[in-house]
Amino acid sequence: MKPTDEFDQDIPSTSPPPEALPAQPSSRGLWLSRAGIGLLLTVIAVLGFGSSAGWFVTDSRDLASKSSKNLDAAANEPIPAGTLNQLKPDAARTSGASIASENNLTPASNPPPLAALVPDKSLEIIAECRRVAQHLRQIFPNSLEAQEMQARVEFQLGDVEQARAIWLKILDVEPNYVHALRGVGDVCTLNGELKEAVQYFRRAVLADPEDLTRQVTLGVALLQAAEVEQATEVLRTVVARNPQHVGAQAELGRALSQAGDFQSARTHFEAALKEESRLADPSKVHLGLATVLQRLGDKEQAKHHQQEYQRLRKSVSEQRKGERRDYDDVKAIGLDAARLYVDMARVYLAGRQAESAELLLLRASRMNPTDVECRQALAFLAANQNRLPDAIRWLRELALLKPDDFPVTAEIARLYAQMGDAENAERYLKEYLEAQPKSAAALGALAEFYLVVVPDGPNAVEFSQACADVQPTAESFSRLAAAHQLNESPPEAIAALERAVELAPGNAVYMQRLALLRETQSTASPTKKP
Amino acid sequence: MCLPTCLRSCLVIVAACCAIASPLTTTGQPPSPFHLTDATVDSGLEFQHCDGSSGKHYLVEAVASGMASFDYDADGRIDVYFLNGTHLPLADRPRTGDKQPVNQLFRNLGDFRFADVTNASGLGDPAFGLGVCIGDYDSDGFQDVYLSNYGPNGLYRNNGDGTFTAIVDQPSLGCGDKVGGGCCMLDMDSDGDLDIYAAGYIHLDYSVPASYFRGRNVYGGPLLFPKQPDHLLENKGNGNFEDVSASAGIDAVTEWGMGTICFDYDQDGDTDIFVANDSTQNTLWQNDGTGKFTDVALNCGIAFDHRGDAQGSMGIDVADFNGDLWPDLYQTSYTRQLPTLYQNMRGGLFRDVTLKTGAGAGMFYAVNWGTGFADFDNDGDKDIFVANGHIHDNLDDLDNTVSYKIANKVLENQRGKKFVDVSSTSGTGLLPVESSRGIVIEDFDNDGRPDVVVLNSRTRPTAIRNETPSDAHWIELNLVGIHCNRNAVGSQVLVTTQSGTQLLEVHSGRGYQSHFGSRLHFGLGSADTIKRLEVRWHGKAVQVFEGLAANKDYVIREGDEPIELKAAP
Repeated sequence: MKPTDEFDQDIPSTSPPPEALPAQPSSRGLWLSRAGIGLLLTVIAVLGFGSSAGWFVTDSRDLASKSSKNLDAAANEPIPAGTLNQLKPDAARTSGASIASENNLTPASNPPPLAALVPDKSLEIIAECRRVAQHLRQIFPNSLEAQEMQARVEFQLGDVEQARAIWLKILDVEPNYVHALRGVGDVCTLNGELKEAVQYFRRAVLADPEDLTRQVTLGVALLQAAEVEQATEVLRTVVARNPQHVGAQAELGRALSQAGDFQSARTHFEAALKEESRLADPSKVHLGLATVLQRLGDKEQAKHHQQEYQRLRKSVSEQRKGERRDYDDVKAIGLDAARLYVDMARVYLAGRQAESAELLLLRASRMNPTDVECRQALAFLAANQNRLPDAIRWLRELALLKPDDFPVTAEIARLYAQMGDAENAERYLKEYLEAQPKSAAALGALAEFYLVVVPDGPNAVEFSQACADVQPTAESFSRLAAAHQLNESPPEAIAALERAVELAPGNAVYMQRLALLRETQSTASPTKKP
Repeated sequence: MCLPTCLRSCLVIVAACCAIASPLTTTGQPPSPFHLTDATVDSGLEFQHCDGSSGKHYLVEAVASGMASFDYDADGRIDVYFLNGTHLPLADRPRTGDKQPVNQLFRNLGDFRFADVTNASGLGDPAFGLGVCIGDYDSDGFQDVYLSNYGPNGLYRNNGDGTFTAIVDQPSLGCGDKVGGGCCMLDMDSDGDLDIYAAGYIHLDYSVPASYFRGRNVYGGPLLFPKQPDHLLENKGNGNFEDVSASAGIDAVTEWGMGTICFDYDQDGDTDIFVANDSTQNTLWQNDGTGKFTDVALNCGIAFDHRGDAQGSMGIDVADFNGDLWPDLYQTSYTRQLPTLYQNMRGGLFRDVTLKTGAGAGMFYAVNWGTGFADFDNDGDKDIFVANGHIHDNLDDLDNTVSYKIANKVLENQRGKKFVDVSSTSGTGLLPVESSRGIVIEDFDNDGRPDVVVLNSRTRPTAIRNETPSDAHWIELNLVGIHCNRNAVGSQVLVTTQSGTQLLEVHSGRGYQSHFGSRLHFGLGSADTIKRLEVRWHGKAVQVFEGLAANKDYVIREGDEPIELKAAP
């Protein structure tokens, strides 16, 4: 995911390409990949892990909470798993089948045309990526998403005019298809057709007026097309709606500086720098501010921001130099292709071609060993088809990539538990806790493990208490009460529940449980320990 | 809201009138006041550029070469000198033989015809030529040639008889074994002789692995190679030069230098130095008047463009585009960047006004190289010519938004407020599509209209004859220093007519690692007389003349009255 929301990084056309290289259309993968993975995660949320087990429901929601707001109707459909065992072994001649068998999958009937091995030459990767995009279109001839993917593949791989042609065809069918509008706008920008680009970006804004990022894109395009006043107007609107949009603040500062309104430019540059850590390249904002301060005669402040600029610039320059020195064409193309495959998998999945989707995700995982999204999706697909060891394998890879992400660990533990392997479930949770001893989520999960999976009163109490110490919420005390109950310590259970009720006074469930506990306690045998 | 029919009709009529009032041609561009004709075929400029074309994509190939225009034989006609690359790697090139590419000098025969005099002149330097500047370093009245090369730089002394002699006994002139950038001559300490500034670009390391992009071998950018220091060589007045880079403060900054130009940006009477650095911040060396320099580019707002982005800065030229009598600066850059126009705001500040003025119109996708200000229609303001072409010769296989070969551009200055791209309506001179590098702009046929010659990488040049039909007047001036340096480099001229005052400065070295414009050209519009002509000789002497007739080429010797120059028969 993009680490910051400053807009600079998201403008394909204004960012110069690595000077060592021919200009390439910069990545447009972000938005689609976000949407695509959002959709996959939505499927996970609707169908997946969270619905099948109790003791980590909260965590699985965390996992799915990154899902996109827009729930694609097709994605709500369960993925048919029963159609997978169709091919006989001798049919496994296709490359897709070979990958499938290698990965213990049942081959798809019409798999995407992937080579048996990951190509090791750039041109072969490009050719394969194009073949898959064509396959996608053949399989879903009426899908705008499939067309959009093909356009994006062409754009990414350099045939920008072909991409433009496809996007324009999409717009013939659906004039408000925002990705196509943005795509044509990008092509126009790359071709220097700046006024035309503005028209398309403007239409994209009209089609999706809630998306502030599109409005910033429009503002930047207007600025580039020398429409400084209009750019200022658009960017002002964004900033009015979301003053925390540091990218828009920075762009507005630039626009106002161009317009000669240095005082206002200063205000917006300073607003952008208030959350400097969220800026992709704060050095440029410091420089912009230094320039307007000089114009305003504040030489001392200008000098300060110039120095700050130089300090930041040095590290940015070094980083860039390193990137260019270490640039590996095959690797770079592979990463691009991996990202495209993840997005294409989304379209296959939405069209109920889960096997094809899985093949592409597998390929993506090999081309990009650190890609989180494809591994999440692969884990989901495997779990959904009850291939729990496979799901665990992907989740373990994810855990290595995101060692601090507890929901992944929780899911591994849950799947182990589901397989009856309580020992490994416990081990995973404990290993995480060892690394993050103050993690309330991990403490809570372990407590629940000892409550539900392997009932163990003392351990349940220990971890519930630790969790409540770290995170003294009603839920924590409720869990602690349950642990004390398991440990046959009613007074402690009552005390914990009383605390829970105190923290959540309106919670009827806690109150009912408390009443029940008190009643049980009052009628308890005197021979039992208090 | 529904408009009444009559009102709607009115709007339609108004719209139609507006369309008539601003006619566009079939190309979508407005009609051009310029008529620039491709005169290459009959020009006799039979030059074939070689960039090495090793197939290995050594970066030095992509950045070759600049060129020069100057009157080498003092016959009143401006001649053309093309720099050439050579076979790569240098160690493997043939040492002798006719096939070895060399720089070539073409003598202007008049009427826009040229003859190759390379062999006779001795200027056929076989080094890998990248940059050039011209100046009379020994004050003998004849213009000498300094070359910035891949390998040691070189100085050729003009013998005054149509021949040149290479100066070989001064190692400091070489500035090391590197890929050089632009170079300039300037009188840094106002002692009356010309010193030399030579930019350094990269150290070409053949062991750096080839760069690949989308499976194809491409030119790797400068950041992959060690940057090389610039050098400042002080003319000791006895024919010798001393490298004073350290004591002058020049060694404080090392970047990937390309185009260079010397001019008095702060109008304090001494000459400052601007270096367009590739992929990093530009350098503006402020002269303290004694030849000691400090980089003030960042303070001046000229180190980066308005977004704070470092440009792939290539070529550079200086002129007062808006008539405020302060020198502004135009810089060409890499693809997906706009060439940048920096307006001099006085007080040591510049402002990027590219968007506001349209000075980057139509060039976002192109890599720009050579550039120059010139008044092509003699209307009194400075237009801009830009040479385009990408570095990647296999680009068409990689990206169909931009090509290796790109047409050049000419922008019309509209009263100092706006630049308009009129390339496609300016005549056949803008039709050739090549990968251009250096350009020179001069009045080659002495008709009062500036012409252009373009060096095209790997092929023949383009010669563009200015045939703009116009009644507008002009004046051309050749300054000869007596107390100041002989070529009057760093001197400024203010020409006042009924319609205003214009400023020009004499430069040695400008554009993309090129040299042109030692003869100053002013378009005068409808003014047929110069009300006031002020020459501010470098070193503070000032001369004022009144009532000079227009449409003439004058020689002004420091301290003397102007005399009309007539080209030798």
